[in-house]
Amino acid sequence: MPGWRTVIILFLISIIQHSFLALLAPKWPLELPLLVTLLYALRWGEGKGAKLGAFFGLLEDLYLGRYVGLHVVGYVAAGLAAGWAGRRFFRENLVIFMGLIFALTFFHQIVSYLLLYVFGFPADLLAVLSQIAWPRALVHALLAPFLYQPVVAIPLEKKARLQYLG
Amino acid sequence: MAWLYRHRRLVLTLLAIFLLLFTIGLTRGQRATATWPERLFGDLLSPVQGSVARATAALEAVWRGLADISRLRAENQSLKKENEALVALQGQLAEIKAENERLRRLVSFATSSGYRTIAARVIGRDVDSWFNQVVVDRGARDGLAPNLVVVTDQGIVGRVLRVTSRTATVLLLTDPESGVGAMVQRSRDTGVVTGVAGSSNLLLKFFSREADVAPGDVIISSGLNSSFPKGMVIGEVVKVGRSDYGLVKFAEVKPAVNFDRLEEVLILFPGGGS
Repeated sequence: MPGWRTVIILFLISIIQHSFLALLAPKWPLELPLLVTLLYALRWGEGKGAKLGAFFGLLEDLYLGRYVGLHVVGYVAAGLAAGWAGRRFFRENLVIFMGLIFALTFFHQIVSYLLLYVFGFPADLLAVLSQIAWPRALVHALLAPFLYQPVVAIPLEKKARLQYLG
Repeated sequence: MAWLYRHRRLVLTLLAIFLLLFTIGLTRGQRATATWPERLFGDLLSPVQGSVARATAALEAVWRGLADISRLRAENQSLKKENEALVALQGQLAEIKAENERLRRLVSFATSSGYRTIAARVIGRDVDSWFNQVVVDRGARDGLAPNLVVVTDQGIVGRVLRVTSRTATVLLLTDPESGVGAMVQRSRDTGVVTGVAGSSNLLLKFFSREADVAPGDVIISSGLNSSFPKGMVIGEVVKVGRSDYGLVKFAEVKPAVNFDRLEEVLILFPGGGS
């Protein structure tokens, strides 16, 4: 069970996204909850990534989701994929890190598209890839270097230090 | 002569006094001109005097500056703070003015529309680009219910999708699952306007293959097959085309409402009355 502080932080991230970023710059293709889920999963693995994804997804679905469950499934899938990719590919290399964020964001968009397609949502795959998935993946990847240090590198260093001491 | 020589100091002193008295006598009163020694002396001395005076003034200024530096620093800080406060106030005033202008237009539209309306503020927006929906700060306790029409003074915004007691989710015209009966204002040809995933423009599919439409045509709601009242502005045609097999004629429509800058909206209640 996450602590109250964590829950409040997650709520805040969601509110910042919906009532600040999305109103201030609606065309800016940033999905903060997804990005945080990916970063968290890269660092902590599939299990914790999937749990955070489920929590964020549920928040999204409850707040605005038209297909309740769509975000939960999408974010959990993204969390699982990021956790796996973190174990398989991630070697504290910035370029790999950016590439992973790009690919994982793209993957999440494809999963969302497939789910929506199954449920009959009218969306053209080419338009989705070019106008939704690609810009979002690019923005997430470009933001990754700024989040790399606080979210990934510092906790890893701390973990290494603790292992060394302990 | 010997006496004069012996008392030469006294004599010279007296002579000098006499000369001075004579000079004083000559030069007393308000003279319009200076004597030549005065002129010579003054002319020779003036550049030096000027330089010294300037240096003195500069030194005095520096000294005064040094003496005033703490007072000036305090004054500067105070002015800076005052300036910052004024800039902030100016920003607030500009924001209030813009909001006032928007609300004035909304009220004017609400009065002339003939509908009972309620104004609402946009407080949230969808973050994924799949759906286009916003959350407004009015809900069931304000009388809102699904399918009520949402507009601004520029045109149709969308319709209420679902409500909670204090908020409502509005499905925007740009959402792929929205559909509004529409017509070309000029030719009266009808069709259905829907949103397109990932695009800010709308798609108008005509019922007739021979529909008369051209770029620049204004598209309005037709009042058919939907809860949207007839004659409300939807947007303007920017491109006309046909589907792959030429069976359906369509037009790309730029919405009249700027959905990226949606801050206040009006919700229309059926039944008229204001």
